[in-house]
Amino acid sequence: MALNFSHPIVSPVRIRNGYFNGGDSYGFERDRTERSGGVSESISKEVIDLLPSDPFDMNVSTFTYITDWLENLDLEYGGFGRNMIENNQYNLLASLNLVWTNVVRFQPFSTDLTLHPVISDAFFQHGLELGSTLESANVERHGLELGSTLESTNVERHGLELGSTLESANAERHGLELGSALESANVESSSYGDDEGVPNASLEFALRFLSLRDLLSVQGVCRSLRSSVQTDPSLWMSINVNYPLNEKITDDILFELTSKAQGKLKSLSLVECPKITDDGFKRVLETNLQLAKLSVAGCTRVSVEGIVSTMKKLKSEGTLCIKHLRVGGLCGMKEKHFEDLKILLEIHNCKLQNNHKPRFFRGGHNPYLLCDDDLPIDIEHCPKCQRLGLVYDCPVEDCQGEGGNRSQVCRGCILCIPRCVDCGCCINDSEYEETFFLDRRCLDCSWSLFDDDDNIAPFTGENSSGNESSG
Amino acid sequence: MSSKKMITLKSSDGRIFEVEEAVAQESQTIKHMIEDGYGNSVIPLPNVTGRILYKIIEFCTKHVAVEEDIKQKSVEPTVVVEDVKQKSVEPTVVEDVKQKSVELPVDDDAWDAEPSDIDEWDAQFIDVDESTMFELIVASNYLNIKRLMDLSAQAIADMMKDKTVEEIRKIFNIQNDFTPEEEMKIRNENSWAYE
Repeated sequence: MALNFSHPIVSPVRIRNGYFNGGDSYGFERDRTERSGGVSESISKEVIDLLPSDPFDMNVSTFTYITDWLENLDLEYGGFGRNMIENNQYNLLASLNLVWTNVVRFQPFSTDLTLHPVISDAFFQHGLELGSTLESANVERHGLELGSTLESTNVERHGLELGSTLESANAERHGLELGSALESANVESSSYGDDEGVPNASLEFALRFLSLRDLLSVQGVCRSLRSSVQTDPSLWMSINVNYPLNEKITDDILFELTSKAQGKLKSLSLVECPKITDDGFKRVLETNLQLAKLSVAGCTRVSVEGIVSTMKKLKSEGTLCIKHLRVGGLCGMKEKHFEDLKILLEIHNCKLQNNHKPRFFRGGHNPYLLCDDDLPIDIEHCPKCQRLGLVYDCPVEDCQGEGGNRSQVCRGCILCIPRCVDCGCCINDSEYEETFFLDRRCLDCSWSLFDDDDNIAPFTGENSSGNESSG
Repeated sequence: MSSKKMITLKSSDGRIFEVEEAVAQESQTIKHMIEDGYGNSVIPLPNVTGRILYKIIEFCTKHVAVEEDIKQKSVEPTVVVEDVKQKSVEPTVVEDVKQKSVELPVDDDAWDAEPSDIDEWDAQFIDVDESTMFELIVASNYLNIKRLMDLSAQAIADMMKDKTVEEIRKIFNIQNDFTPEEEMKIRNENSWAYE
């Protein structure tokens, strides 16, 4: 930016300890000892002597310094004079020299405060940006009562109306509202490099991809996000409660969460939630009549009887919409219940036999991972023992049938066909390793734990294959 | 190859882009405009800057090419994958003479990279700085490009994943405008989740 020489430029403004001492053009040469900053005279004189007095015919001194309260500025500049400066304060002075004689952009600071004191066109033509540690420490120590003292004729002539608002800068550490003159001079005290602290609308687009836990966190970030989260029922239409919230959620909390859907809840998945009872679950079902997908897998306090009776009640009222149910892991599943459920879910026998995605055993730690397939119900009769429960396929190639015709040989419940806790392959008579939790791990998976030299997993039985672990 | 109809798009900063109709129609907004008869004139996009429009065109071009390749493969299994690269035509930028030429931050490597599948390409595509990501999601919402919207929204959601309230504020530079009482109340409400 070119310097504007058309206007008479100010004589240097010297601000010392709150007292304006303007008017003289080389004030910095004099009365140096008066300054409380403890500046070394000789060094300053050397620097100042070396500097040309008025290289641009601006009728000003080479620089104007604002001494004490900028003494901790950490400035990067072209290296001019740095070698000659021993005192940090004169880094500033030399830098300011450079500011006036060159166009120098200062490095903004960690306080994230960027001042653009283009105080007046005549004064700062090149948009001097003083990134400053105008922290309260500096401000308060030096009083910074630039206020009224700066409202002198000199100041006004310079346009440097730092004004009484600088007193408020004493109180505000980083806010630093430098008053109307500087406001017009593009003072920015915004946070660095981004919006003015208001959440971008784009964040709201991302809300629907958040897990339940993250949604709860986002609610507490700011007002507008909280409002978005709480008032948008579409975010609450599908609620998945799994680790780590599954252990903590209670009936009341569940009811509160499901209420946010305003009756439009479509899918609810409660995986291994030990605090959810029949009553809580019933209350949710009765207030969310559009529920189509439900999983209570592993919720030990929810009884099969309770589920069946609630669903029967809704069916009799004509309000049952559930088409997909997951009850794996619930105790007490009897044949009678299964038949009732088949009627309630409108399952015909042929549907269960259809080709669907194979279900593999995925560890004793998270066996109820919500299956994405479209099966109406997850349990079936084990082909080997005929007990009702989860039936697994085998990932081993030899065990799989020909395309389109799945082999029934290696299909069965976990009691009939023991499986590896990591990969789900069948372990019948072959060798295996028993984990600390009495799970079985095939030898391939055991050896793979030792393959990575950096990360040798101990024999803890924890799932180390990167699957979602319940910890 | 038969000549394909080209659609002319103009960004908010005056940059002109010519794209194939199929690529332009990845955006439902533009598709509707074409259907309404504006396909023969310059379509202005006042809400999208040139830099972001360039990236969006890159995305749409790639996805159209991949889909065409899949279609062709299903008919002629012998089609070589390299055709995909040939079809990934760099969007033609026609400079508006009056406008000062603006250097777009073009990543040339994006055109040379051929990840094994489209998901990997998408992951590389969305691996950009925050502000670009925000602009992409807003622009893709305006242009109604579902795939890009989902991709960028998911990327932003991933940034928020498993973060505390303070961490989210810090990442996105959001001011806490709750009063201390309100904040206490919210913390109590959610305390069950963090015990």
